[in-house]
Amino acid sequence: MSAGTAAPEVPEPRQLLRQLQGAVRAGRSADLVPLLRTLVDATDDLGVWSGAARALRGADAGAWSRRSLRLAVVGTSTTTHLTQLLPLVLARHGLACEVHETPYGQHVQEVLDPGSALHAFAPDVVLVVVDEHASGLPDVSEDPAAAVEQEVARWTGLWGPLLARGALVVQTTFAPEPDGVFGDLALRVPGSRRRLLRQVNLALGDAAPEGVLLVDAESAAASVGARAWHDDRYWHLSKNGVGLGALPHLARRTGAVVAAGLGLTRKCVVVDLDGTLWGGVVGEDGVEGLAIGDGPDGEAHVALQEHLLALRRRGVLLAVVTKNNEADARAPFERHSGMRLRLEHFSAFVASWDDKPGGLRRVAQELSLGTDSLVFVDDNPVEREAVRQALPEVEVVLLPPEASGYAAAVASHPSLEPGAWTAEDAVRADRYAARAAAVEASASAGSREEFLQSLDMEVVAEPVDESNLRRVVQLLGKTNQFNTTTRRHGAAEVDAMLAVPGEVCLALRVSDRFADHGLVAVVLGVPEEEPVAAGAERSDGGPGGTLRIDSWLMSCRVLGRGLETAAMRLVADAAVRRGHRRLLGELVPTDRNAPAQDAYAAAGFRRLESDEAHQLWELDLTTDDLPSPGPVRLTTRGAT
Amino acid sequence: MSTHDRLQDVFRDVFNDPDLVVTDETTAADVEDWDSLAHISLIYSVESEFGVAFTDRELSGLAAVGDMRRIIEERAA
Repeated sequence: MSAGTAAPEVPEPRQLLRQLQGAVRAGRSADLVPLLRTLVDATDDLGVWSGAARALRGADAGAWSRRSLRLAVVGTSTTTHLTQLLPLVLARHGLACEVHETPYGQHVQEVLDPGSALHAFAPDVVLVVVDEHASGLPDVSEDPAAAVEQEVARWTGLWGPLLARGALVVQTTFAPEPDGVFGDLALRVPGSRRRLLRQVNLALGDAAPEGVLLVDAESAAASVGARAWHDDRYWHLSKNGVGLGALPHLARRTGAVVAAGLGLTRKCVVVDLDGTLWGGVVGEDGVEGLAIGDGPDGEAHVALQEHLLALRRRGVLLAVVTKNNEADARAPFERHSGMRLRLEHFSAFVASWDDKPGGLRRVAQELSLGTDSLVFVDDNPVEREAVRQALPEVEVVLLPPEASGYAAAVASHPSLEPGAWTAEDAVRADRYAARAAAVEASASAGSREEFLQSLDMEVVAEPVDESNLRRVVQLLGKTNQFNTTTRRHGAAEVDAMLAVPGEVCLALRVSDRFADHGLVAVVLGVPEEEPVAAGAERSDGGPGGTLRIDSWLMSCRVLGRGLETAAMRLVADAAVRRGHRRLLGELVPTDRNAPAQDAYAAAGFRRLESDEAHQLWELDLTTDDLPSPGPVRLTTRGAT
Repeated sequence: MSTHDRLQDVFRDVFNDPDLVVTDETTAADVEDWDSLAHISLIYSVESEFGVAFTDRELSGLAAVGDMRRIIEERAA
């Protein structure tokens, strides 16, 4: 870390802007995303945001972004100012975007007309920005239920054509005006506009299908302040439905929802102990001397613990990295009655005198996650800076100076916004605990083969269908390591593959004697009709000849167990049943999918003459040995 | 720093141009990126920088940098 610099962790907003402009001018691409995280998370200054958005346009997106997307903004009022901020908030998540904005007030025509400029733009994500000026609701309705239903239908009717294009739809909800003709009596008047708007918001949540996410405008307005949100000056001046001062907050929330919808939600929160989970230093103050509950200081640390516990129930993994002796670090969990978090809540626990980046790397390794899945929470700005410098891909929460602000800082962190919540997520932390137990068993189980045998693993193949599509798309969106092509197919694209006769699209579930890991692997195979590369002979031609494996991905939590060949055996068996004679695996190497790059070779495929950047691997189902399932029971369910 | 210099800094931030020079006579016609979108951002940033709020009537008459400077200095006086 940069020792001796007196620069504050969060410079003044203008200073941050100068740093960003300097980094863009000097072409220091690696500095951009970390700078943007600080700027976006720590300031709400629209002038600075606007300047930063302009500066970002001068940077080479290919050099700083991890993905790019096409974003369309469809709004009921002036959205131009919000739109210009969106590239900034998405860049904060490492996403570059090309933006298209439909003209003010033309949202309905643009969405419903398949020949519109909006559809021609072919957006990956469509942001629908509504405001209460555009709601058709009266001050008071004689038939509240019908009024709500009618209003909801206006918006859900726009979703269908966008979803059919395979776009992710993100819509803002309504923020009721803080004052109205009924004042606070509105809550007791069933047909009052304020009640209707709230009901519309809830009904939109109920109606939202897979592929539609909402930005909760009511919470956003409350967070930023109703006066800033409902700023009539800008409504009259420029028909801005949301006040300009509220736009950075709205943009930040929207960016978090879009990133979450694309599967970028961070998977694991890594916390420090001394000064973070409790007040004091256990090695010096002893367990009894720590501030945990009993007084405002201790209560604040307990509030952080309770928030972390709630995150764990939501499916986020917890880990500890602390500079302590192992016994000291564990003692408060074992002996202090005020502790809410217990040792079993952590999927990894690293107590050592190594530096924090080293500890984070160990956590990532133990959990088979990339360090880019981690969020770091530490009260010490020096440790935070050390992590930012050594591991810029780790998200670092800017904890405020006082512990009373810790829980809120973690709760509002954009990288932890969830994009979906399924039964799989709810039990994930328990699965990882089981996995950690399996890793420990590994140490005592002798040879690797004996260990794998002892796990008693089963892989169940089932067809991709409506019942698992949500999870399949979630895995497609977020799997980076074992992912042969990293194609981020949405539900519509997967549906299109399922419609091709002879397809072999499988979802694989894995269980062992420690845990049911759930649906953790996906293979999408589509029949290939044309010769695919020079030197690649068309086996027999026509449907039923070659099955092209468009995507093959496996969650990192089941890697390193020899399941890859078992998975490919299930695909081969299904392909043979469909009459295919050849498997053709596509492999697009990235700097992150190293675990997938040997997979076809390991499963007995031969590399065809093909580009290094887009490799083709072949397995002849009529003459080659089929991949060995290894020490795994294979089961097939449904019409695979 | 004079009102003019502070105003110029705001313009430099909003237009991401550290070398931008404005005078009292500068209007939207003189600055390439000064469109209606940037105009609203400018008003917001100027109000934030100086802690003033232009009246509804003033908002419709702000054309040149000097218009902003005079109103800001009147308020401060």
